[in-house]
Parts: sequence; C-alpha cells; structure tokens
Amino acid sequence: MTNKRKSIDELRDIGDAIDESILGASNAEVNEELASLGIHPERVAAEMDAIAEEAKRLAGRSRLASAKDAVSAFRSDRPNAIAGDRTALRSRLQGIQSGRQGGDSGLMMAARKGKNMSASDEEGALDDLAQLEALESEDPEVSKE
Amino acid sequence: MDHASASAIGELSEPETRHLAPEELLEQLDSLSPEDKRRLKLIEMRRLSGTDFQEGLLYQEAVCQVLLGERRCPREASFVAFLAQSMRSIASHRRKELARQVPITKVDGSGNLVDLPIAADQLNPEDALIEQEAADVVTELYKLLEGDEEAQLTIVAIVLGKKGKELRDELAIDQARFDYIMKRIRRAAGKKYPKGWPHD
Repeated sequence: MTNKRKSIDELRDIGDAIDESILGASNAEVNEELASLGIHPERVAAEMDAIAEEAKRLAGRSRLASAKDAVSAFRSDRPNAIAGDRTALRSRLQGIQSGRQGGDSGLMMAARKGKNMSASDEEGALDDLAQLEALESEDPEVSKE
Repeated sequence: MDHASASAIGELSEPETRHLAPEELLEQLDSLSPEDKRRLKLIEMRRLSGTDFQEGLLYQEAVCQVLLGERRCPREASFVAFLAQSMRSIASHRRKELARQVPITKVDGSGNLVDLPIAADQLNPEDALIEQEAADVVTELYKLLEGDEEAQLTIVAIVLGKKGKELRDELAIDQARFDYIMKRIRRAAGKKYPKGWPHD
C-alpha cells in the first residue's frame, strides 16, 4: 500500500487553487484574462444575466413537470376503479343522479343535482365513488354513517 | 389549523436553516455584481475542457441545479464560490460520464490504436486512463513554470495536499505574495489550457 496521492486529486487541488485565485483577483486582472480569451469583459454581465434568466425558466419548467408527475402519481395511488368496475360505478352514479338508490340519498348531493355533468365532473365523481367503495370495503361501518 | 401545526410548517428544520432558502438563492443570484459574473465566466471557461458543455451552458446548469435545490448553498459560504464549486463538480461528473463511453485505447508512435496496459491490481480501465492523463497534466504544469522556481515550489506544495495557511507557511510567504504566485501559475496554465484540463 502506498501513501502517494492520486494524480487526479493533485490536479483537482491545483484547479481549486486557481479558481480561488480567480475569485480573489483584481477586476483589472480578470478583465485582462477575459480579453486574452477573446471575451469582451463589458459584455459578460449581460450574457451571464441572460443565461441566469434562461436557467430560471428551465428550473421553473422542471418544477412544473415534477409537480405534474407528483399529481399523476398521487392519482394513480388513489383507490381507483379498474376498467371493469368503472361501468358498474357509472351505473351506480346514474342511479344516484336519478334518485333510484335510496341508500345513497344522503350522499353526493352535487352529483344528484348534476343532471348535466361535464365529462371531467363525471370522471371526478366516479373517482370519489370508487374511493367511497374502497372505504366501505375496508370498513363496512362507513356506508352506515 | 392549530398553532402547533402552523409553526411546524412555517419553521425550517435545523438542517435546513444551515442552507440558503430558495428565495434567498434567487436574491443572491440577482445581486451578483458585474465583477462576480466576470469571475464566474473565467472559472466556467477553465472548467469546460473534457465536457460537452458549450460556453454558457455549464453556468446555466449550475444555476439550474441550485434553483432546483439539487445543490444547497451553506449559509456561511460565499455564493460566488459556491457557484464556482458547483460548476467544478458538474463538469467533473460530466467528464466521468463521458469517460465511461470512451474506448480504453491510445494511439502509439506508429499511429496504431493499442490497448492501454492496465495491471490487474490497479484501478479499473477508465480510472486508470484518467489517472494517467491527470499525472501528465500535473507534469506539464510543472514544466510550464520552468524558470519560475517559486511557482514550481507552490505547485509541489499544492500537490502534496497543502492548502490555505499551511500552504503559505510551507512556502514561507504571505497572502499577497501567494496571490502573485498564483496569478503567474493561472496565466501559464491558461495559455496552455484555456478551457482547463480534461480531468480533475
């Protein structure tokens, strides 16, 4: 076993020392070194601002995408009706809306009133109903409340 | 909502208070001075080598990761230094990713591709290649400073792992002298490696 440091670590330390020296350099030195790279120092601030604004926009978009994924994941975790059950749920919902199912008379007032529910309203109502059925199956007392 | 739950939501947990909050990061970003931006630009330029980042995109990636909370800025750290360190780290990770896609061969003196000799008890082939190239750069940097003994001694001390006050004490110099030496090293390295070196 040798105690020799890895060259990659040595090089990283040299690089860090150079970065630190840039952070501590005078404005004149920094401008001179930018110019030596063919970069106009006076234009740098505006360019960096534009890059930062683009980064903010990208971060915002990424956050929005993550939020959408989280909502989808939340919805998929909810007790959801499988395709076959969806038909039965729809039938039950129609029963509630038409007042045929007395057992649900105290429930889903909005659904019963909503004779002309939109498609998304109906899907939401079906989700709620599926959730209720799941609760009922976990605890039969729920349906009596 | 009762008082207890309100304060639990409103207050940051102890570890979170050690880092800047998202709104503070934005504030720091928006208040960078033109001089800070120029320094960050120089640092970005010398971190591009060996990556596939175009100019500007390494800084953009660093800012993006910071804003998304993927990199957290310690409260006591300089925000400019933190951004510089984030660029270094992102570039380093990117180089490693790219290195995994590179065949482990090199061109010999006759122009033929040959497998790199890797001893079984050594690093894996990718790491061995990186290590060899890093060693070559360290040697080259030392040679670039031929005739500047003070700068060469500084390189040797850094390579030995000395930093900060310990480094200056080792060299028996003050901060101003050290800054002057580092300026010479920076410029010599910048001429040979304007976009930095391919590994770190």
